[in-house]
Amino acid sequence: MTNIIEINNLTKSYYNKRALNNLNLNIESGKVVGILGPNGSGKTTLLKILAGLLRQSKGEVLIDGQKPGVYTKSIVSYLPDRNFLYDWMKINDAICFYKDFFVDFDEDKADDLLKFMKLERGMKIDSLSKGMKEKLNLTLVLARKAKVYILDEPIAGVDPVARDQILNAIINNYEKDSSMVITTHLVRDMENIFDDVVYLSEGDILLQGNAEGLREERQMSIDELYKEIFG
Amino acid sequence: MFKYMRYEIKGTHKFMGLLILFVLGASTGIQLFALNASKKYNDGLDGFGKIPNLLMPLLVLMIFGAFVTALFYIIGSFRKELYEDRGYLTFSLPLSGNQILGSKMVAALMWAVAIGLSVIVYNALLGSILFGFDWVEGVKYVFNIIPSSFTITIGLFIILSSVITLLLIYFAITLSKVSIKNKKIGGLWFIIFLILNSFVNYLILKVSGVFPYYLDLNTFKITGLNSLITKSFMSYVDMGFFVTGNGTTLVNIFSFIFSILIAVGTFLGTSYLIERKIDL
Repeated sequence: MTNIIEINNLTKSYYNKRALNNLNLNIESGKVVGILGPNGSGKTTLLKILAGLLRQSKGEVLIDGQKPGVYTKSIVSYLPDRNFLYDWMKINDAICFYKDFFVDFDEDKADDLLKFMKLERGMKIDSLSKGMKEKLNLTLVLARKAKVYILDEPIAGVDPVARDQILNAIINNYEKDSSMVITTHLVRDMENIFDDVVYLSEGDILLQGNAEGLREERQMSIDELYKEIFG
Repeated sequence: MFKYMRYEIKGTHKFMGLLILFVLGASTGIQLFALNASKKYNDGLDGFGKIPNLLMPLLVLMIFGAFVTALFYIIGSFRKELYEDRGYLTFSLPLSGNQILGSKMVAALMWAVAIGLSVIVYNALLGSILFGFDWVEGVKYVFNIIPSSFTITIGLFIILSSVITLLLIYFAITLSKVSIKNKKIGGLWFIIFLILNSFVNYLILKVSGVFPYYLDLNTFKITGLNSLITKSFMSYVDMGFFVTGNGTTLVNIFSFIFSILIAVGTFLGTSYLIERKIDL
Protein backbone atom coordinates (compact mmCIF):
# COMPACT_ATOMS: atom_id res chain seq x y z
CA MET A 1 0.00 0.00 0.00
CA THR A 2 1.32 3.48 -0.88
CA ASN A 3 1.79 6.30 1.58
CA ILE A 4 -0.53 9.20 0.91
CA ILE A 5 1.13 11.24 3.68
CA GLU A 6 4.84 11.20 4.46
CA ILE A 7 6.19 13.17 7.41
CA ASN A 8 9.95 13.26 7.87
CA ASN A 9 11.77 14.87 10.80
CA LEU A 10 8.98 17.40 11.27
CA THR A 11 9.64 20.10 13.85
CA LYS A 12 7.48 23.09 14.67
CA SER A 13 8.59 25.67 17.20
CA TYR A 14 6.73 28.68 18.56
CA TYR A 15 9.47 30.98 19.84
CA ASN A 16 11.06 28.83 22.59
CA LYS A 17 8.36 26.16 22.72
CA ARG A 18 8.52 23.08 20.54
CA ALA A 19 5.05 21.95 19.45
CA LEU A 20 6.36 19.10 17.28
CA ASN A 21 9.70 17.48 17.83
CA ASN A 22 11.39 15.69 14.91
CA LEU A 23 8.27 13.74 14.04
CA ASN A 24 8.34 10.84 11.55
CA LEU A 25 5.07 9.34 10.38
CA ASN A 26 3.70 7.71 7.23
CA ILE A 27 0.00 7.30 6.57
CA GLU A 28 -1.14 4.72 4.05
CA SER A 29 -3.95 5.22 1.54
CA GLY A 30 -7.27 3.90 2.77
CA LYS A 31 -6.38 4.00 6.47
CA VAL A 32 -8.17 5.81 9.29
CA VAL A 33 -5.54 7.08 11.70
CA GLY A 34 -6.29 8.44 15.15
CA ILE A 35 -3.86 11.01 16.53
CA LEU A 36 -4.39 10.78 20.27
CA GLY A 37 -3.05 12.95 23.02
CA PRO A 38 -3.94 15.44 25.72
CA ASN A 39 -4.28 19.18 25.15
CA GLY A 40 -1.02 20.77 24.03
CA SER A 41 0.43 17.53 22.67
CA GLY A 42 0.78 18.96 19.14
CA LYS A 43 -2.24 17.29 17.48
CA THR A 44 -3.79 20.46 16.05
CA THR A 45 -0.38 21.81 15.03
CA LEU A 46 0.27 18.64 13.03
CA LEU A 47 -3.13 18.82 11.30
CA LYS A 48 -2.74 22.51 10.49
CA ILE A 49 0.61 21.80 8.83
CA LEU A 50 -1.04 19.02 6.79
CA ALA A 51 -3.88 21.40 5.84
CA GLY A 52 -1.37 24.03 4.66
CA LEU A 53 -2.34 26.60 7.31
CA LEU A 54 0.87 26.41 9.29
CA ARG A 55 4.51 26.26 8.20
CA GLN A 56 6.94 23.78 9.70
CA SER A 57 10.17 25.01 11.27
CA LYS A 58 12.14 22.00 10.02
CA GLY A 59 11.54 18.74 8.20
CA GLU A 60 9.38 17.71 5.29
CA VAL A 61 5.71 16.96 4.73
CA LEU A 62 4.48 15.35 1.52
CA ILE A 63 0.84 14.73 0.67
CA ASP A 64 0.34 12.64 -2.46
CA GLY A 65 4.01 13.41 -3.17
CA GLN A 66 3.55 17.20 -2.97
CA LYS A 67 4.43 19.79 -0.37
CA PRO A 68 1.37 21.47 1.21
CA GLY A 69 0.08 24.08 -1.22
CA VAL A 70 -2.60 24.73 -3.80
CA TYR A 71 -2.61 21.13 -5.10
CA THR A 72 -2.73 19.44 -1.69
CA LYS A 73 -5.55 21.78 -0.62
CA SER A 74 -7.55 20.48 -3.57
CA ILE A 75 -7.26 16.87 -2.35
CA VAL A 76 -7.43 17.44 1.41
CA SER A 77 -10.78 17.92 3.08
CA TYR A 78 -10.06 19.69 6.35
CA LEU A 79 -12.31 20.12 9.37
CA PRO A 80 -10.78 22.61 11.82
CA ASP A 81 -11.64 22.60 15.51
CA ARG A 82 -13.66 25.81 15.17
CA ASN A 83 -16.46 27.35 13.17
CA PHE A 84 -14.68 28.49 10.04
CA LEU A 85 -17.58 29.43 7.77
CA TYR A 86 -18.21 33.10 6.93
CA ASP A 87 -20.85 34.52 9.28
CA TRP A 88 -22.88 36.16 6.49
CA MET A 89 -23.60 32.79 4.92
CA LYS A 90 -26.72 30.69 4.91
CA ILE A 91 -26.25 26.93 4.67
CA ASN A 92 -27.11 27.18 0.97
CA ASP A 93 -24.29 29.70 0.45
CA ALA A 94 -21.84 27.36 2.17
CA ILE A 95 -22.93 24.46 -0.09
CA CYS A 96 -22.53 26.65 -3.20
CA PHE A 97 -19.16 27.88 -1.92
CA TYR A 98 -17.81 24.34 -1.51
CA LYS A 99 -19.25 23.34 -4.89
CA ASP A 100 -17.51 26.31 -6.54
CA PHE A 101 -14.09 25.70 -5.03
CA PHE A 102 -13.79 21.93 -4.69
CA VAL A 103 -14.30 19.89 -7.84
CA ASP A 104 -14.69 16.77 -5.70
CA PHE A 105 -17.70 18.20 -3.86
CA ASP A 106 -20.82 16.05 -4.23
CA GLU A 107 -23.93 18.22 -3.82
CA ASP A 108 -26.32 15.24 -3.65
CA LYS A 109 -24.27 13.73 -0.86
CA ALA A 110 -24.32 17.10 0.91
CA ASP A 111 -28.13 17.16 0.68
CA ASP A 112 -28.33 13.61 2.08
CA LEU A 113 -26.04 14.57 4.94
CA LEU A 114 -28.01 17.75 5.64
CA LYS A 115 -31.17 15.66 5.88
CA PHE A 116 -29.42 13.18 8.16
CA MET A 117 -28.19 16.02 10.36
CA LYS A 118 -31.64 17.66 10.32
CA LEU A 119 -30.33 20.87 8.77
CA GLU A 120 -31.96 22.97 6.07
CA ARG A 121 -30.39 25.02 3.30
CA GLY A 122 -32.25 28.18 4.25
CA MET A 123 -30.83 28.33 7.79
CA LYS A 124 -28.49 31.20 8.65
CA ILE A 125 -25.13 30.00 9.96
CA ASP A 126 -24.83 32.59 12.72
CA SER A 127 -28.18 31.47 14.14
CA LEU A 128 -27.13 27.80 14.46
CA SER A 129 -26.24 26.23 17.80
CA LYS A 130 -22.67 24.99 18.40
CA GLY A 131 -23.71 21.39 17.74
CA MET A 132 -25.54 22.32 14.56
CA LYS A 133 -22.51 24.25 13.32
CA GLU A 134 -20.29 21.24 13.94
CA LYS A 135 -22.75 19.04 12.03
CA LEU A 136 -22.79 21.50 9.14
CA ASN A 137 -19.01 21.73 9.05
CA LEU A 138 -18.75 17.96 8.97
CA THR A 139 -21.42 17.77 6.25
CA LEU A 140 -19.37 20.03 4.01
CA VAL A 141 -16.13 18.19 4.69
CA LEU A 142 -17.58 14.70 4.18
CA ALA A 143 -19.51 15.67 1.05
CA ARG A 144 -16.18 15.95 -0.74
CA LYS A 145 -14.68 12.89 -2.43
CA ALA A 146 -11.25 13.85 -1.17
CA LYS A 147 -8.10 11.74 -1.11
CA VAL A 148 -7.39 12.80 2.46
CA TYR A 149 -9.77 13.83 5.23
CA ILE A 150 -8.32 15.69 8.19
CA LEU A 151 -10.69 16.05 11.12
CA ASP A 152 -9.65 18.01 14.19
CA GLU A 153 -11.74 17.04 17.23
CA PRO A 154 -14.91 16.31 15.23
CA ILE A 155 -17.00 15.35 18.28
CA ALA A 156 -15.66 17.71 20.91
CA GLY A 157 -18.22 19.94 22.53
CA VAL A 158 -21.39 18.21 21.32
CA ASP A 159 -23.94 16.22 23.29
CA PRO A 160 -23.85 12.37 23.21
CA VAL A 161 -26.76 12.13 20.74
CA ALA A 162 -25.12 14.53 18.30
CA ARG A 163 -21.84 12.68 18.92
CA ASP A 164 -23.36 9.41 17.73
CA GLN A 165 -24.88 11.14 14.72
CA ILE A 166 -21.52 12.64 13.78
CA LEU A 167 -19.71 9.33 14.24
CA ASN A 168 -22.26 7.56 12.06
CA ALA A 169 -21.87 10.24 9.43
CA ILE A 170 -18.09 9.78 9.45
CA ILE A 171 -18.27 5.98 9.24
CA ASN A 172 -20.91 5.91 6.50
CA ASN A 173 -19.77 8.77 4.33
CA TYR A 174 -16.05 8.94 3.96
CA GLU A 175 -14.55 7.57 0.74
CA LYS A 176 -13.23 4.07 1.40
CA ASP A 177 -10.14 4.54 -0.78
CA SER A 178 -9.28 7.74 1.02
CA SER A 179 -7.27 8.24 4.16
CA MET A 180 -8.57 9.92 7.25
CA VAL A 181 -6.58 11.54 10.03
CA ILE A 182 -8.59 12.30 13.15
CA THR A 183 -7.49 13.91 16.38
CA THR A 184 -9.45 13.42 19.55
CA HIS A 185 -9.17 13.09 23.26
CA LEU A 186 -12.60 11.40 23.41
CA VAL A 187 -10.89 8.11 22.62
CA ARG A 188 -13.55 5.70 23.87
CA ASP A 189 -16.17 7.17 21.53
CA MET A 190 -13.99 6.98 18.46
CA GLU A 191 -11.58 4.08 18.89
CA ASN A 192 -13.65 1.64 16.85
CA ILE A 193 -13.18 3.55 13.64
CA PHE A 194 -9.36 3.72 13.83
CA ASP A 195 -7.17 1.38 11.77
CA ASP A 196 -3.99 2.85 13.24
CA VAL A 197 -3.34 5.06 16.23
CA VAL A 198 -0.56 7.47 17.17
CA TYR A 199 -0.09 8.56 20.78
CA LEU A 200 1.37 12.04 20.86
CA SER A 201 2.79 13.88 23.87
CA GLU A 202 4.53 17.26 23.87
CA GLY A 203 5.33 16.94 20.20
CA ASP A 204 6.81 13.44 20.40
CA ILE A 205 5.30 10.16 19.27
CA LEU A 206 5.17 7.92 22.36
CA LEU A 207 3.57 4.94 20.66
CA GLN A 208 2.11 4.13 17.29
CA GLY A 209 0.73 1.05 15.59
CA ASN A 210 -2.22 -0.87 14.28
CA ALA A 211 -5.19 -0.40 16.61
CA GLU A 212 -6.19 -4.06 16.62
CA GLY A 213 -2.58 -5.18 17.05
CA LEU A 214 -2.13 -2.88 20.05
CA ARG A 215 -5.33 -4.16 21.65
CA GLU A 216 -4.13 -7.75 21.33
CA GLU A 217 -0.57 -7.04 22.36
CA ARG A 218 -1.49 -4.94 25.43
CA GLN A 219 -4.72 -6.75 26.25
CA MET A 220 -6.56 -3.48 26.66
CA SER A 221 -8.64 -1.08 24.65
CA ILE A 222 -7.14 1.94 22.89
CA ASP A 223 -8.89 4.13 25.48
CA GLU A 224 -7.40 2.14 28.38
CA LEU A 225 -4.01 2.35 26.75
CA TYR A 226 -4.49 6.12 26.39
CA LYS A 227 -5.21 6.39 30.12
CA GLU A 228 -2.22 4.25 30.95
CA ILE A 229 0.09 6.40 28.85
CA PHE A 230 -1.23 9.80 29.84
CA GLY A 231 -2.85 9.01 33.19
CA MET B 1 -10.19 33.99 -8.94
CA PHE B 2 -13.54 35.34 -10.19
CA LYS B 3 -15.37 32.81 -8.01
CA TYR B 4 -13.62 34.07 -4.92
CA MET B 5 -14.20 37.66 -5.98
CA ARG B 6 -17.92 36.87 -6.29
CA TYR B 7 -18.02 35.66 -2.69
CA GLU B 8 -15.93 38.62 -1.57
CA ILE B 9 -18.55 40.93 -3.08
CA LYS B 10 -21.38 38.82 -1.68
CA GLY B 11 -19.90 39.07 1.80
CA THR B 12 -19.53 42.86 1.68
CA HIS B 13 -22.52 43.94 -0.39
CA LYS B 14 -24.85 44.57 2.56
CA PHE B 15 -22.48 47.00 4.27
CA MET B 16 -21.48 48.71 1.04
CA GLY B 17 -25.10 48.90 -0.13
CA LEU B 18 -26.12 50.54 3.15
CA LEU B 19 -23.18 52.93 2.92
CA ILE B 20 -24.19 53.96 -0.60
CA LEU B 21 -27.82 54.40 0.50
CA PHE B 22 -26.72 56.52 3.45
CA VAL B 23 -24.54 58.70 1.24
CA LEU B 24 -27.33 59.15 -1.31
CA GLY B 25 -29.73 60.06 1.51
CA ALA B 26 -27.27 62.59 2.88
CA SER B 27 -26.72 63.99 -0.64
CA THR B 28 -30.45 64.51 -0.96
CA GLY B 29 -30.48 66.33 2.38
CA ILE B 30 -27.58 68.57 1.39
CA GLN B 31 -29.11 69.43 -2.00
CA LEU B 32 -32.55 70.15 -0.49
CA PHE B 33 -30.93 72.35 2.15
CA ALA B 34 -29.05 74.20 -0.56
CA LEU B 35 -32.25 74.60 -2.62
CA ASN B 36 -34.15 75.93 0.37
CA ALA B 37 -31.40 78.39 1.17
CA SER B 38 -31.17 79.64 -2.41
CA LYS B 39 -34.96 80.21 -2.50
CA LYS B 40 -34.76 82.25 0.67
CA TYR B 41 -31.99 84.32 -0.88
CA ASN B 42 -34.03 84.90 -4.06
CA ASP B 43 -36.99 86.05 -1.95
CA GLY B 44 -34.68 88.48 -0.27
CA LEU B 45 -35.54 87.10 3.16
CA ASP B 46 -32.00 86.82 4.47
CA GLY B 47 -28.43 86.41 3.47
CA PHE B 48 -28.32 82.68 3.12
CA GLY B 49 -27.39 82.98 -0.53
CA LYS B 50 -23.86 81.97 0.30
CA ILE B 51 -24.99 78.58 1.57
CA PRO B 52 -25.42 77.02 -1.90
CA ASN B 53 -21.75 77.74 -2.38
CA LEU B 54 -21.15 75.17 0.34
CA LEU B 55 -22.90 72.52 -1.76
CA MET B 56 -19.79 71.28 -3.57
CA PRO B 57 -17.45 71.26 -0.53
CA LEU B 58 -20.10 69.43 1.53
CA LEU B 59 -20.64 66.85 -1.21
CA VAL B 60 -16.90 66.37 -1.66
CA LEU B 61 -16.46 65.99 2.09
CA MET B 62 -19.25 63.43 2.22
CA ILE B 63 -17.81 61.39 -0.67
CA PHE B 64 -14.42 61.48 1.08
CA GLY B 65 -16.06 60.28 4.30
CA ALA B 66 -17.77 57.45 2.42
CA PHE B 67 -14.45 56.36 0.88
CA VAL B 68 -12.72 56.43 4.28
CA THR B 69 -15.55 54.36 5.83
CA ALA B 70 -15.38 51.86 2.96
CA LEU B 71 -11.58 51.70 3.29
CA PHE B 72 -11.77 50.94 7.03
CA TYR B 73 -14.34 48.23 6.35
CA ILE B 74 -12.13 46.67 3.66
CA ILE B 75 -9.08 46.81 5.94
CA GLY B 76 -11.09 45.23 8.78
CA SER B 77 -12.30 42.49 6.47
CA PHE B 78 -8.71 41.65 5.41
CA ARG B 79 -7.51 41.62 9.04
CA LYS B 80 -10.31 39.20 9.92
CA GLU B 81 -8.88 36.72 7.40
CA LEU B 82 -5.57 36.71 9.26
CA TYR B 83 -6.76 36.99 12.85
CA GLU B 84 -10.17 35.32 12.99
CA ASP B 85 -11.56 31.85 12.35
CA ARG B 86 -12.80 32.65 8.84
CA GLY B 87 -9.16 32.47 7.69
CA TYR B 88 -9.36 28.69 8.19
CA LEU B 89 -11.79 28.57 5.29
CA THR B 90 -10.13 31.13 3.04
CA PHE B 91 -6.61 29.72 3.38
CA SER B 92 -7.65 26.09 3.01
CA LEU B 93 -9.09 26.81 -0.44
CA PRO B 94 -7.03 25.59 -3.40
CA LEU B 95 -6.16 29.17 -4.39
CA SER B 96 -2.78 30.82 -4.73
CA GLY B 97 -1.83 33.93 -2.78
CA ASN B 98 -2.08 35.91 -6.04
CA GLN B 99 -5.65 34.74 -6.59
CA ILE B 100 -6.78 35.56 -3.04
CA LEU B 101 -5.11 38.97 -2.98
CA GLY B 102 -6.12 39.80 -6.57
CA SER B 103 -9.76 39.03 -5.78
CA LYS B 104 -9.70 41.20 -2.69
CA MET B 105 -8.02 44.06 -4.56
CA VAL B 106 -10.43 43.98 -7.49
CA ALA B 107 -13.47 43.74 -5.19
CA ALA B 108 -12.23 46.68 -3.09
CA LEU B 109 -11.54 48.84 -6.15
CA MET B 110 -14.89 47.85 -7.61
CA TRP B 111 -16.65 49.10 -4.48
CA ALA B 112 -14.67 52.35 -4.64
CA VAL B 113 -15.82 52.88 -8.25
CA ALA B 114 -19.41 51.91 -7.33
CA ILE B 115 -19.51 54.41 -4.44
CA GLY B 116 -17.92 57.20 -6.52
CA LEU B 117 -20.11 56.64 -9.59
CA SER B 118 -23.39 56.23 -7.71
CA VAL B 119 -22.81 59.42 -5.72
CA ILE B 120 -21.77 61.47 -8.76
CA VAL B 121 -24.56 60.21 -11.04
CA TYR B 122 -27.22 60.54 -8.32
CA ASN B 123 -26.16 64.06 -7.41
CA ALA B 124 -26.01 65.06 -11.06
CA LEU B 125 -29.54 63.80 -11.66
CA LEU B 126 -30.93 65.28 -8.44
CA GLY B 127 -29.18 68.58 -9.14
CA SER B 128 -30.67 68.75 -12.61
CA ILE B 129 -34.16 68.17 -11.14
CA LEU B 130 -33.84 70.59 -8.21
CA PHE B 131 -31.70 73.33 -9.71
CA GLY B 132 -32.29 72.76 -13.41
CA PHE B 133 -28.56 72.44 -14.02
CA ASP B 134 -27.52 71.08 -17.37
CA TRP B 135 -24.86 68.69 -16.18
CA VAL B 136 -23.80 67.70 -19.68
CA GLU B 137 -22.98 71.32 -20.41
CA GLY B 138 -21.39 71.60 -16.97
CA VAL B 139 -19.08 68.66 -17.63
CA LYS B 140 -18.21 70.07 -21.07
CA TYR B 141 -17.42 73.42 -19.45
CA VAL B 142 -15.18 71.82 -16.83
CA PHE B 143 -13.31 69.84 -19.50
CA ASN B 144 -12.90 73.03 -21.52
CA ILE B 145 -11.27 74.98 -18.71
CA ILE B 146 -9.21 72.05 -17.37
CA PRO B 147 -6.69 70.67 -19.90
CA SER B 148 -7.33 67.02 -20.81
CA SER B 149 -3.67 66.24 -20.04
CA PHE B 150 -4.29 67.33 -16.45
CA THR B 151 -7.48 65.24 -16.19
CA ILE B 152 -5.74 62.14 -17.55
CA THR B 153 -2.75 62.63 -15.25
CA ILE B 154 -4.92 63.20 -12.18
CA GLY B 155 -6.95 60.10 -13.13
CA LEU B 156 -3.79 58.02 -13.45
CA PHE B 157 -2.43 59.46 -10.21
CA ILE B 158 -5.62 58.66 -8.27
CA ILE B 159 -5.85 55.10 -9.62
CA LEU B 160 -2.17 54.30 -9.07
CA SER B 161 -2.06 55.95 -5.63
CA SER B 162 -5.21 54.10 -4.52
CA VAL B 163 -3.82 50.76 -5.70
CA ILE B 164 -0.43 51.36 -4.06
CA THR B 165 -2.01 52.58 -0.79
CA LEU B 166 -4.33 49.58 -0.57
CA LEU B 167 -1.51 47.18 -1.43
CA LEU B 168 0.78 48.77 1.16
CA ILE B 169 -1.98 48.40 3.77
CA TYR B 170 -2.45 44.71 2.86
CA PHE B 171 1.31 44.20 2.91
CA ALA B 172 1.66 45.95 6.30
CA ILE B 173 -1.16 43.87 7.84
CA THR B 174 0.32 40.63 6.47
CA LEU B 175 3.86 41.54 7.52
CA SER B 176 2.75 42.39 11.06
CA LYS B 177 0.99 39.02 11.27
CA VAL B 178 4.03 37.17 9.93
CA SER B 179 6.64 38.96 12.02
CA ILE B 180 4.79 39.30 15.31
CA LYS B 181 2.16 36.69 15.90
CA ASN B 182 0.78 38.26 19.06
CA LYS B 183 -2.73 39.47 18.29
CA LYS B 184 -2.64 42.08 21.02
CA ILE B 185 -0.21 44.25 19.10
CA GLY B 186 -1.96 43.75 15.79
CA GLY B 187 -2.14 47.58 15.45
CA LEU B 188 1.52 47.35 14.50
CA TRP B 189 0.38 47.17 10.89
CA PHE B 190 -0.51 50.88 10.96
CA ILE B 191 3.00 51.88 12.02
CA ILE B 192 4.48 49.61 9.34
CA PHE B 193 2.12 51.18 6.80
CA LEU B 194 3.06 54.75 7.76
CA ILE B 195 6.77 53.96 7.48
CA LEU B 196 6.38 52.12 4.17
CA ASN B 197 4.11 54.78 2.70
CA SER B 198 6.50 57.60 3.63
CA PHE B 199 9.43 55.62 2.26
CA VAL B 200 7.67 54.86 -1.03
CA ASN B 201 6.62 58.49 -1.53
CA TYR B 202 10.15 59.63 -0.72
CA LEU B 203 11.54 57.18 -3.29
CA ILE B 204 9.07 58.34 -5.96
CA LEU B 205 10.11 61.96 -5.39
CA LYS B 206 13.78 60.95 -5.39
CA VAL B 207 13.41 59.04 -8.66
CA SER B 208 11.76 62.03 -10.33
CA GLY B 209 14.66 64.20 -9.13
CA VAL B 210 17.34 61.83 -10.38
CA PHE B 211 15.60 61.16 -13.71
CA PRO B 212 13.88 64.43 -14.71
CA TYR B 213 12.39 63.10 -17.94
CA TYR B 214 8.76 63.99 -18.45
CA LEU B 215 6.07 63.06 -20.94
CA ASP B 216 3.95 65.97 -22.09
CA LEU B 217 0.50 64.49 -22.61
CA ASN B 218 -0.48 67.34 -24.94
CA THR B 219 2.29 66.74 -27.43
CA PHE B 220 3.33 63.19 -26.40
CA LYS B 221 6.94 64.36 -26.43
CA ILE B 222 9.57 63.71 -23.80
CA THR B 223 10.69 66.92 -22.21
CA GLY B 224 12.38 68.38 -19.14
CA LEU B 225 11.10 70.73 -16.48
CA ASN B 226 12.42 73.70 -18.45
CA SER B 227 9.33 73.52 -20.66
CA LEU B 228 7.37 74.71 -17.63
CA ILE B 229 9.90 77.16 -16.31
CA THR B 230 10.43 78.97 -19.59
CA LYS B 231 6.78 79.98 -19.70
CA SER B 232 5.67 83.35 -18.39
CA PHE B 233 4.78 82.03 -14.94
CA MET B 234 7.46 79.96 -13.29
CA SER B 235 5.44 78.39 -10.50
CA TYR B 236 4.59 74.71 -10.61
CA VAL B 237 3.55 71.91 -8.28
CA ASP B 238 5.80 68.88 -8.14
CA MET B 239 4.04 65.73 -6.90
CA GLY B 240 6.94 63.46 -7.86
CA PHE B 241 4.71 61.44 -10.13
CA PHE B 242 3.65 64.48 -12.15
CA VAL B 243 4.35 68.19 -12.40
CA THR B 244 1.70 70.73 -13.17
CA GLY B 245 1.84 74.46 -13.73
CA ASN B 246 1.01 77.12 -16.29
CA GLY B 247 -1.70 74.94 -17.86
CA THR B 248 0.73 72.15 -18.67
CA THR B 249 0.97 68.78 -16.96
CA LEU B 250 3.96 66.54 -17.32
CA VAL B 251 4.22 62.94 -16.16
CA ASN B 252 7.60 61.83 -14.89
CA ILE B 253 8.30 58.69 -16.90
CA PHE B 254 10.61 57.04 -14.38
CA SER B 255 8.41 57.84 -11.37
CA PHE B 256 5.45 56.41 -13.24
CA ILE B 257 7.31 53.19 -14.10
CA PHE B 258 8.73 53.05 -10.57
CA SER B 259 5.22 53.41 -9.08
CA ILE B 260 3.99 50.52 -11.21
CA LEU B 261 6.99 48.42 -10.10
CA ILE B 262 6.20 49.28 -6.46
CA ALA B 263 2.59 48.16 -6.97
CA VAL B 264 3.65 44.89 -8.65
CA GLY B 265 6.37 44.24 -6.06
CA THR B 266 4.02 44.88 -3.13
CA PHE B 267 1.36 42.65 -4.68
CA LEU B 268 3.81 39.78 -5.24
CA GLY B 269 5.38 40.26 -1.80
CA THR B 270 2.00 40.16 -0.05
CA SER B 271 0.92 37.13 -2.11
CA TYR B 272 4.13 35.34 -1.17
CA LEU B 273 3.63 36.05 2.53
CA ILE B 274 0.01 34.90 2.35
CA GLU B 275 0.89 31.68 0.54
CA ARG B 276 4.15 30.74 2.24
CA LYS B 277 4.53 32.48 5.57
CA ILE B 278 1.17 33.01 7.26
CA ASP B 279 0.61 30.80 10.29
CA LEU B 280 -2.99 30.53 11.46
